[in-house]
Amino acid sequence: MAFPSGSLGYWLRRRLGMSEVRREKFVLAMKRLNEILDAVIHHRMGGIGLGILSFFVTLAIIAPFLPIPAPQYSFTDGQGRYLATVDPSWEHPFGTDQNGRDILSRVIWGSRISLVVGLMASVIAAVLGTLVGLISGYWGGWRDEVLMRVNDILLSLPWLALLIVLAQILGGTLSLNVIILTIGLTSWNFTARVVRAQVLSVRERVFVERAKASGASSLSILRKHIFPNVFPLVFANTILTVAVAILSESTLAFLGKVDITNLSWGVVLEDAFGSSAAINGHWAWIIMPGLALVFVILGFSLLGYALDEILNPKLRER
Amino acid sequence: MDQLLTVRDLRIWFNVRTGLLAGLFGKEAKHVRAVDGISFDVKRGEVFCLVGESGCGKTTTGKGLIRLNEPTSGNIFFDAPPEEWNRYLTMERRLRVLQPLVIKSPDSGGKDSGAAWSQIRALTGQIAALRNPGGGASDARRQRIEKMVSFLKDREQDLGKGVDPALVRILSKDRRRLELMDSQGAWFTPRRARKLERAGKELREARYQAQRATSLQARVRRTARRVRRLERRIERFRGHEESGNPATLGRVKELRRSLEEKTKRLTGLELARVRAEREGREARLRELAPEARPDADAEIRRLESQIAQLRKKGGPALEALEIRAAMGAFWQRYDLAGPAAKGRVRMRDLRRRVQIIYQDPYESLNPKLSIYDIVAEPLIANKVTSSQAEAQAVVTKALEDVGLRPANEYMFRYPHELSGGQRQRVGIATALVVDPDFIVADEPVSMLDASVRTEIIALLLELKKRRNLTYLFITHDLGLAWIIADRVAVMYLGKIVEMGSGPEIIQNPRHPYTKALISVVPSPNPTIHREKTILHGERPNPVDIPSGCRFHPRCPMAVGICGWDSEEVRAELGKLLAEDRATFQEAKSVTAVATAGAFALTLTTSDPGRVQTYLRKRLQTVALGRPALGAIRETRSKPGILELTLHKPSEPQLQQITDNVSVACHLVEPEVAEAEAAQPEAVEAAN
Amino acid sequence: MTPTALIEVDHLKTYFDTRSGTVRAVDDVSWKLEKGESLGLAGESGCGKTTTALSIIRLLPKNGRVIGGHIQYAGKDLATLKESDLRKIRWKHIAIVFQGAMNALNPVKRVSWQIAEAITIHDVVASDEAETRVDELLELVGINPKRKDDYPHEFSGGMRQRVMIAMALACRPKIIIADEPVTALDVMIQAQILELLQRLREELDLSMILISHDLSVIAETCDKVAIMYGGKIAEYGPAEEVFLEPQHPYTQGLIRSFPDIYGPRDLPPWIPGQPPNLLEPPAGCRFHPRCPQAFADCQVRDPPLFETGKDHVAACLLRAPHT
Repeated sequence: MAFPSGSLGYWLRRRLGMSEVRREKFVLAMKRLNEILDAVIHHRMGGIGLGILSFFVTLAIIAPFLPIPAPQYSFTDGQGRYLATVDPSWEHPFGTDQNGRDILSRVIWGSRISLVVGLMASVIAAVLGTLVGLISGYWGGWRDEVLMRVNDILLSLPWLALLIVLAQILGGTLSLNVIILTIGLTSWNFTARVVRAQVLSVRERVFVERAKASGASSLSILRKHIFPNVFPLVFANTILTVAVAILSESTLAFLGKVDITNLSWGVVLEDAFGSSAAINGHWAWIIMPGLALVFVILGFSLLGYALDEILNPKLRER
Repeated sequence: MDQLLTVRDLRIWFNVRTGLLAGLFGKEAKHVRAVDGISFDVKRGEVFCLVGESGCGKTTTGKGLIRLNEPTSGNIFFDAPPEEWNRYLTMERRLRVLQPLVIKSPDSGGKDSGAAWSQIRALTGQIAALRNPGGGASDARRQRIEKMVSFLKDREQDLGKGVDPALVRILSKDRRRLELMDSQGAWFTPRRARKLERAGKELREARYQAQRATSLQARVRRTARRVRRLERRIERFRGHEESGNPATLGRVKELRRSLEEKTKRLTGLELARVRAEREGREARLRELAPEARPDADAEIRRLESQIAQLRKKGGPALEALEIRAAMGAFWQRYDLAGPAAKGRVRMRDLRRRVQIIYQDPYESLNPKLSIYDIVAEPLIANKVTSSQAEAQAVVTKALEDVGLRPANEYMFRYPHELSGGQRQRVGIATALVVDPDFIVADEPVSMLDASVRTEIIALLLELKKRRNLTYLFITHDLGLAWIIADRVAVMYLGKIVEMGSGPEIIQNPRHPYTKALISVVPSPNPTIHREKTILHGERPNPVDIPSGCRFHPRCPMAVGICGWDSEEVRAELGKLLAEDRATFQEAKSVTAVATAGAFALTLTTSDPGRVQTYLRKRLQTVALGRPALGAIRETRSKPGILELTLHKPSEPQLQQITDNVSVACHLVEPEVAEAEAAQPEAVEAAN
Repeated sequence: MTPTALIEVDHLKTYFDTRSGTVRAVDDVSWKLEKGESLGLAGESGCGKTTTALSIIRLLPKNGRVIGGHIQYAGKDLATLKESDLRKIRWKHIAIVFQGAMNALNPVKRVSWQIAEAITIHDVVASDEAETRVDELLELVGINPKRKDDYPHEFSGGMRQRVMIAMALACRPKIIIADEPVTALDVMIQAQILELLQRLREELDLSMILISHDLSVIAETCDKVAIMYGGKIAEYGPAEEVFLEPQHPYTQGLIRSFPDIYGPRDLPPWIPGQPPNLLEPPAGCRFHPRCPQAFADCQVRDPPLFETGKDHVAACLLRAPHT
């Protein structure tokens, strides 16, 4: 369905000139992805989570093509003052903020940064966590000890405080890259531990011993045997980490530590807070970005939960 | 001498982790003595069965042979050529003869002989240098060039005959095209043939899907439609098969002609090139040929006489040293158990020639890899093949050899789609794919259904014949050993207790353990009635191995000399005294029984003399039923106590009982007329 | 036959509902177990032996149900009995030692606790009475009662199996079902456990149903044997008769395929093919695709059990009485 495994797939592959073995393996991989997609859609929560996420991601991607005003465009009323409307109207369904900017468009455009930051930070965390978990679990010994102590140290570091201090050092506000990096570098803990535990168990399985008996090098064993058995776990874990990363970024933005040219939901919320929107009754300003956050995180959580259930029992296929 | 594998005194011990405090307080580290000194050899082409219960060390031995477990000591000699092996045995014998002389000689410390030895080595080096003026490396280089020349000569021959592999590969595309046209009809280019094949595959898949379609109406209709569409397409393809269109026939002839031309041209070019290269190399070889230096000969003779003098002065210690160095070199080359075998190249060589088949077909295949990946892994890891197409061909052949035909059906499936028997076949294919000489089969059928077992065993035997394999078959099933084993070794707690020809051991066991084991094997024939010797208790922990004969605590025929230690005797004596308390006055007078060391006891009593006589009389009657008490060798009465000393335990060694069976038991005597005691079978084979 | 059988299974049918259809795991199975007898259920894996045993005490998984037949025990029909009444029968009258039971012990509880639990769940007993009973049971199965406070991992496989047998005997049942009791054990421990079961049968006057795929074990220990194939009984009769003169081609093939150290040294012939898919069993006789003596009628008619001797029946058209 979503992944080409039938004739289209064959045509594509022949065009790309793969050998038969590669082709067959590609077909197998696509079939497996199709199976997983099927399972997720039919899972009670997975379908909902996937739906929510597809909605938001599509919205984020097609934002430039939507008939909404630019997020930084300030609407003025007749006298040249900012049009700070409260009530939702047809022109401004969520109203406008204190500088006359349309809130709906700010929410839609804000999703881009929020999602990107979340995804990239958690990819960094996943990669780092997996590497650490693999090294620490497979070789053990002093590598394991050192890495786990580093892990423990980082666990006790409050990332929020770290980021605030970093913001001060770097002069007031943090750029996007710094945020992504920092969130990534502080979120790999849990993944590393989970991966390490899984590697410790996979390492003892008979097929790894057989690979050693066949003469495979350690790297090859890690790549072909241990990683594929660990990856589903990592993937499910990462999805959940994305939610955490998005929330972290919003928190930072809300605290005003973020360069506000990078529009995210946290920034919108910070504006709302700063202009006392609650007191003034601009409910849409607060609730809309908040709801967007809630739904996105809910979507990721549901999807992560569903994936965990689907991929986990299949770790031991019989 | 057709031995492929000789194991000598192999020990594999594992460390038991002691706690931190225990380690600090100096408690001795214990070892799990899984394999405790076994020696056997496996002849080329035979099936050698290692039999025993779980925990006897057979799996550890098997895995130690391929270095998945590290041997603690001992040798595993693999594939030593007969002359070198004979030489090694001679050296061993000479060393044994020399040993007592060395101890008696004035230089038993070894300092002088050590110095003499280094001198001899230096002189030998000089001789070698004189013989090869091109420098020490030129010998190796010359060998390499010679090898290259012979390779080139072979290639020339192949080219002449038209079977050169490189050429075949280059022309294979055209050849295949021609073959295809010949077989399926001139309309079929490889592309169209692939389309047809793919359509066929998709049709099979679609039919399978249609069959599996659930009650959702849409699914069923869609899959049925797809099936019909594919069928129609295949029909159209097939229609072209018969076309005798003259244009296409002309194309075939054209293709054939151009193929021949190309072959001739390429062969000519290649032949010229190979010839030129060969001549160049031969010229180089002539350059490097050693010049005969007349003065060198005199020099060499002088050095040699020096060496001879040193040897005469050195005496037995020096000779022993030399022999040991030579043996070390032999170990370097052929010993799988030493540190030398850990090097990359040696390991790769080992992995290509010794492989293992695992017991569990469910756990030993990675569920995330396709069958192709699993079987191709040894090829890729050992760099046996150079291209993916070649790897695929080898994998296909391996799968078909183990009975998974057609290979394409199975290559791209996952393990969970196969049954247990099929999975085990995949495991066998994985072992065979690098074309090994020796396979360690670790209980390959014990987890399969009884009905599938014989199929897999038949497959293994057939493969043995076809591929000239040698098996070390590890099993606990004596029925299997009966059927397939040429020779059998029965293991107990890390030692071999009986070894010899398979049928002989199973039909006529001599060691008490083997006898008990054979007697309890169930038979599907209910009319077979026999006395079952069921051993009581369980095998002891390999950390605490019983003294003397390991089997003595459970042996139904144990006697006093079998190795009872003071703990066991104390327990037994305590029981006897408790029972006799009512009837015998002397028994009452014994107040305490204590151990005094590993093989002595003290009885505290008021009247040692009377107790001594009582014990002597009593022991005579009960020693048969209570073998532990038979271990009491002598009693000595001292004021207030009675000292008992036990027989010193000795572990029975493997003795040759008949010409094809050896047994390690104190109670079994050789049946050969000229009983040469204590000759391990390995040395016997040298005669 | 006078109704003296302790337990009588009559045309039992147990089906499983799966996504791919209905699996006919047990399809019309009938046998009798007399008091003090031991019956062996033999066959390849997947032929329905375990399901038959589990159907008797209704310990089937959620998607399995007994859809037909009777299980007569002590005047009641266990197939239609209420769950609350069946619970009184389970363990107190009929106990089971599961397959792979030696791995089913709770690793964090002492062995004495686990056996005592088996007692106290079914009987209301004071705790010290349970203690003495635990000691008795351990002695009965040949374990030193001093070891009762050990954890399962401190025992070897054979001893754990003895613990499971002790648990099964906790409530003094009349019938004990042993599902592959010795399959994963060494041959010496196997002999010990089988000897133990024999001794227990004599001491406690137990009747036993032994399930195994290993015909040698059944030949050595059982009085009667029922060979199952594809969810049906292929042959049923006294063990000696069935093993010495098997009447069904499947039994013949199966017996021949076992290596026998008292027999010739040839590789035994095996039955080609695989057991049938119980979702869609073959039409007619279920064994006909693999049977060397099949003929045309076998593809059409599913043979009932024909009498081939005293108390000896075989489900094969070759044994149909010729008129």
